[in-house]
Amino acid sequence: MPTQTLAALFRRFSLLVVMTLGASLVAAWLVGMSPGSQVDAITMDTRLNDSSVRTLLTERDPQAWLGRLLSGDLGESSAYGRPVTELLSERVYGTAALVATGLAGAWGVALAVLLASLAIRSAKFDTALAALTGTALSQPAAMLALLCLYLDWPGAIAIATLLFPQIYAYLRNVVDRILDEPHVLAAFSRGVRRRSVLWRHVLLRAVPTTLSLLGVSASLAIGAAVPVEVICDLPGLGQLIWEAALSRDLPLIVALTAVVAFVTISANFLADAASAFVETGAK
Amino acid sequence: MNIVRMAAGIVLATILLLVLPAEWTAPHAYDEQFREVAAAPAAEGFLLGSDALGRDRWSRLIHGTRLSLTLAPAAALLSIALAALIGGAAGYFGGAVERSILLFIDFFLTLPWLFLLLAVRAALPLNASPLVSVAVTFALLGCLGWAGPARVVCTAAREFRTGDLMLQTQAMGMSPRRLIFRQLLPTLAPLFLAQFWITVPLFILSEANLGLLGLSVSQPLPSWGNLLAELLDLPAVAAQPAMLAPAILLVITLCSVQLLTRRQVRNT
Repeated sequence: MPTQTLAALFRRFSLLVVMTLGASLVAAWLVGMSPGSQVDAITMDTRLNDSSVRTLLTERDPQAWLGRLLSGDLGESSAYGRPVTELLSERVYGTAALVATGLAGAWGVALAVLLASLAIRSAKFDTALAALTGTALSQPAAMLALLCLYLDWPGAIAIATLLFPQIYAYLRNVVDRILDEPHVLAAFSRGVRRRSVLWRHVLLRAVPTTLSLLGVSASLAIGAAVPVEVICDLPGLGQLIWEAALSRDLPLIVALTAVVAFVTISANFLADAASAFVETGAK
Repeated sequence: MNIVRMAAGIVLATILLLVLPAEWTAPHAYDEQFREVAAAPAAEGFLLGSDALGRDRWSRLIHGTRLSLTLAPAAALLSIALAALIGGAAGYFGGAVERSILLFIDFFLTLPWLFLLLAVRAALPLNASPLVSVAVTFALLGCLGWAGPARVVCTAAREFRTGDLMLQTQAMGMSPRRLIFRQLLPTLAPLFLAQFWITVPLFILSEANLGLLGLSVSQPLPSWGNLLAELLDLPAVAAQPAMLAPAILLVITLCSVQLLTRRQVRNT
């Protein structure tokens, strides 16, 4: 990969990390200013002495929070009374497994359906597919999760059902655009076999764009994991942020938002880097 | 207009005609309780049965649908206005302004939508009055949903800035204000409309998700979100399939919106 591309990617990543920290700082400030935030409860608690009040207030100070975040300390959950890092480490594997399985399912089905639609080339098939994807796109993630719960299916199926139409629609758009490009039309006009044109000139050329979509789909899957984990009672980060929202555990919410932002930004960065790498190699 | 789009239009129009004058079309008020017939199955007087508090499900469905179908477009309007302002400024001015705004938009787009919504919703009081909860929920959707449309608007505004029309208007000595209101905004208007139609279903779905998680509109005010929350009681749903009505209506409405606006969205 050329040094320029690497430098651009590194610059982008650094900026996004800075923005993640900035956003956490803004979130921490918002939390401090939100109505009913716990600062009042601390100052009004007669059981606390001077130094305890000072320590607790300093802990909730946004700048102190940012300093702790940079040193890897995410603070303590007010509802659970336990360090946030401990809660995260307990739940992260559940969400990772759910998201990975859901993504694998969604991508597998989307690619299979794309290949089938290119091979079959039937208007009826496309109409049936449009009806199916349209219906899937009209379902809230929580409702699909309920359906999985009712049918005793794994929650990952809800994520896959939600994501597959979006991935398929995007891939279909990319492929349709490439099919209209001059080199593809020229290959067809010269009598090159359709299968060969599709594999060599269309699908291979769609790989870099497809890789970029991997990062975006990871963000979508993490978002969908919240209702799925809550409804299907799967212990994960989504269920944790929901519990934190209901108990107004604001330190946990800020820390979780920062961590999830970092994970999704990294996923997008890696997907973009892979896309740039493949594109450079292809050129 | 093909037959499918016409059917979708008729379905949507029928739903709107039924729910917009909810005070006249609903047999009861949304919060009127009939405790002696609580959790009753569909029967005479209660088309879809009654909920655990003895409220008529059919009346609540009509009122809730009206709320979701009027406030989701209002939130979408707010989002598109923000997108037009931020994305339009980025594309129109270009340079460092565009780069910084695009970076911010990309950052916003990378964050999982529901996580962000839950985080901001949790910073606000959970025991708010029904009207405040409605305003908070839909204002949040409007304020957080601008990034996607802003990116599209930015690209279109950039194309306008680097296009022949811009060159011609500058050569004619047109003032920037006139250029924006007479040329740029009318050029981007179809795009705003398409983005609006993409955003409305997204907001309806987000409100439904929040409602099922118990973080949307507060009781007794009905919305699609908190009406769907009844489905969490799976044994009751199995006993009274009429409880599925909000889910079915939601899917029918969103499919109709998609079918009706698909061509316009694709063309822009």
